[in-house]
Amino acid sequence: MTVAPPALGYGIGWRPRIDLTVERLPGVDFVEAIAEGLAPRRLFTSLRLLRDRGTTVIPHGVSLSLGGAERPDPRRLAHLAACAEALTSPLVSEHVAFTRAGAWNAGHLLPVPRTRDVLTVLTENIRIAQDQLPVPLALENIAPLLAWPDDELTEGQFLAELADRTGALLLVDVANLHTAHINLGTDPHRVLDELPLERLAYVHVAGGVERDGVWHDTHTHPVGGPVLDLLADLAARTRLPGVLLERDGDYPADSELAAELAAIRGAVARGGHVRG
Amino acid sequence: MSQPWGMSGPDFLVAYAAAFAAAGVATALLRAGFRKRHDTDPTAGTGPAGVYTLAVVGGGTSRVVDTAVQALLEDGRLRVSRDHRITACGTPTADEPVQQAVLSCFGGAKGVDLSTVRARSAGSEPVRRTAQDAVDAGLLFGPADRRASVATALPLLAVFCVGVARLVNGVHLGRPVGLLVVALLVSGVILVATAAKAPRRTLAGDRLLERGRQGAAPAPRVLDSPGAGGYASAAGGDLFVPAAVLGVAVLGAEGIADPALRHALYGGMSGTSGSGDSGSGGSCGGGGGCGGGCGGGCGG
Repeated sequence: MTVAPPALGYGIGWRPRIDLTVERLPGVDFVEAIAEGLAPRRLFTSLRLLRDRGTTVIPHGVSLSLGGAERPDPRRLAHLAACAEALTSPLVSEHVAFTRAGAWNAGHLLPVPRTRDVLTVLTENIRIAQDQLPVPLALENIAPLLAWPDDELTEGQFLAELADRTGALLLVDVANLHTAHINLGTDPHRVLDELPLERLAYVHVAGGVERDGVWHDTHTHPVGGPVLDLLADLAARTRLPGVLLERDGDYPADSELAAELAAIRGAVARGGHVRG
Repeated sequence: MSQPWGMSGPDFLVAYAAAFAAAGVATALLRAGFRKRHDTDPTAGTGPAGVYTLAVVGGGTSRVVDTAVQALLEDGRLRVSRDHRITACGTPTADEPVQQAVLSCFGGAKGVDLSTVRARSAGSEPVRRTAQDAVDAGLLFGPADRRASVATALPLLAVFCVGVARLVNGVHLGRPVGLLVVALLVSGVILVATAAKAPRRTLAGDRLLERGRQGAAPAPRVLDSPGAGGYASAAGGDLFVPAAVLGVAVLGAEGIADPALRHALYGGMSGTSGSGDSGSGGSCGGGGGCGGGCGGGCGG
């Protein structure tokens, strides 16, 4: 199944601490809310208000563990589906990662080995998820602190193959590409070369910090120049359906968040255009 | 059978109610006289005053804290969310000591509500100083004057004592006293409430506040700050005070025109409407990995 990604524009991650800020920031076309923090039958007032005034709200999952050896938890899938329906979302997103193994919970998004066997498992899990979801699913690359040995495919090849097998959309996190570049030596431009960008749903942009040679994708720091450069590179390759700023803590003043969004617009303008 | 004090029970209750009402009027007149006697300077309350002075006169030290919070919200140093939590934006700095006292309440990412900010900072030295300066300026009564004003409730106390004497006598004679007990309970509550509610604001304070309410406060553009000699205008007395900040100082919550912001700040406090936002807590169930958010780099 192949679905054309909807036009989203520019957005910001909606979080309860900054709900009024997000509602009032100028130029916000869409928002993304962490699905696990939502109750579909009792939506946050702020999200109801945004939905009702026509702002697209995308539920973003962090716990489906699509890369796990077990099948996706039906309750978590049902929850994500209920969020999409309650918010009348055009799509949902999740990570290409695993978070659980049996009763053990990592509390982190962990990378999967990029092998053909894992591709088979992931494909099956994603198809199960797609069958349960009322809207298209977009898959996001994660911010790796480590990699498995003996990968058979590059990150770009792996994601491209996954999109091809499942028909899923892609959520490209350029900050995570930068993380992989610093921590693992991955060439982010080569990843972009290999991705089927016609399947791009939207782009994540976030700040982080480098400590002792390791890049931490904190979402609590300003977006740095290298991440914006990657965004510009991506925008030069294709018209971006949407670009979203992720911020998860140490929130600056509204004016600084607006300035970060302006910097994102500037980077996209350098490279190309957002499809609006 | 003769009636105690020559009055039947019902007759005494009517007389008691009438006497208590008359004592209430007398107490009000004594209160007015008390405030008039202390209004020795007719120019007090007509001179320049800063926004914190208006706040403490209008609503006490809590209002001072609210005013500082509003000022910090206005220029983006604090943020409030719909669940009534106030958080600092980055690491904000204060312009003056009251703001410093308020900002010292913020440290965690979860934030605190306005009640907590009040509780933590209303007793701070800079905030208490605003109250003392208002007392020194003759805008508020000091503790000694407030204690003295309790005497204005003596007429109510006198009538209440008569009622108690009648109760003792009635019990001694074995008469029914149920209605009298009820009357004494009601009047006792009124007596205590009246005595406890000693006048806080002087007539000069009333004049100042009235001018503030009319938008004609002497110096609404002045953000006062504590100094060695009391409160002086900051930055040469020419700091701009946004309308919402002045509104909170003079009117409290009603001074905030934006209903969403007003509810976010005051909606969760006891005695006001609203009880927090809905939607918290997902329903994904089944073990961990469900606490939303990627703070701290979960790799998403």
